[in-house]
Amino acid sequence: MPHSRSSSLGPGHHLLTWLALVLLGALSFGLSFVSLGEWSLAIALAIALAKALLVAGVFMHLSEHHGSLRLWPAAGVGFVVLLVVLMTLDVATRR
Amino acid sequence: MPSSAPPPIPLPAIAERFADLPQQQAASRLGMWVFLASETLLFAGLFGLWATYHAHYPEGFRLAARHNTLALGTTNTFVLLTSSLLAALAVWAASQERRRLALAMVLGTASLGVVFLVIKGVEYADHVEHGLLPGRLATAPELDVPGGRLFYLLYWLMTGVHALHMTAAVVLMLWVSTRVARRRETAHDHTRLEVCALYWHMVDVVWLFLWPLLYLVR
Repeated sequence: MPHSRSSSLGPGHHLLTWLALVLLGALSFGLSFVSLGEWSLAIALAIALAKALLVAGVFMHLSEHHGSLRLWPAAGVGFVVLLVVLMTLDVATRR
Repeated sequence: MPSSAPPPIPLPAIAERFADLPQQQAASRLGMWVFLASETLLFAGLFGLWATYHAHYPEGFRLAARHNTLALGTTNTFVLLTSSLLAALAVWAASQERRRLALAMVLGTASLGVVFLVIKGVEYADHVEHGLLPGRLATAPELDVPGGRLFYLLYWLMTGVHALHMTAAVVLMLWVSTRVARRRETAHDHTRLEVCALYWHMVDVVWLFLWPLLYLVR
């Protein structure tokens, strides 16, 4: 696990990441006015996921960490998937 | 000892259970990530509820979401994205021993958090005025569609829990700003600033998902 002083992520990386985040946000906003039917929510969530990965990878320095530290954000994603999928399936398959 | 000798530079305190400072810093970082994972569990339950009821009432959710002010929700998204940039820059500035820049970035982050909460407050006031309230408190006739009241119950619950987290994040940033100002967060050790920034980013990431679920699903 690197010490924060040895981080290779500087202000240039942070500014570029912010720019990408703003562009992705603008894309999401723009697409909300386009009629994409059932796909609109899936696309909006996919863009949100891309933004979350950028924040976690660069702003939270996750791209520089390895091993046990990465286990916990992975667990967080696992919690969301488990709860959302199992809760939805539970109700959808009730007779 | 000659009285002209410079005072020793105070080294950061290392708790007894740690071998050295890097080990203590790694433990702090890991501890914050474990906490963030547990926070995800809390929000995952709310996302699960939203997904379940949205599957039942997609049209009701879509119609109800139209009563939210897209401009305010979108503005708040960009406010939080920018606040995350400032939080990341604050950590970088501290790592470079640029105290004044770090302090400005930390205070900028906290200020944008306050801006977010003020905008949310304006939106809440508008909802109250129009009767867009949770559960039985709702008086807006436009919510009389299947799932309309459920949407607003979840809206208040999800944004309310998020706003509480945002408030906590602002308090943390203000606390850490006093440490930066007093030269307690140095290039050698700025772990408290780092973990406060991690918490801030988590609150930002949660909003990134609330935005499409509560505003863009129209």
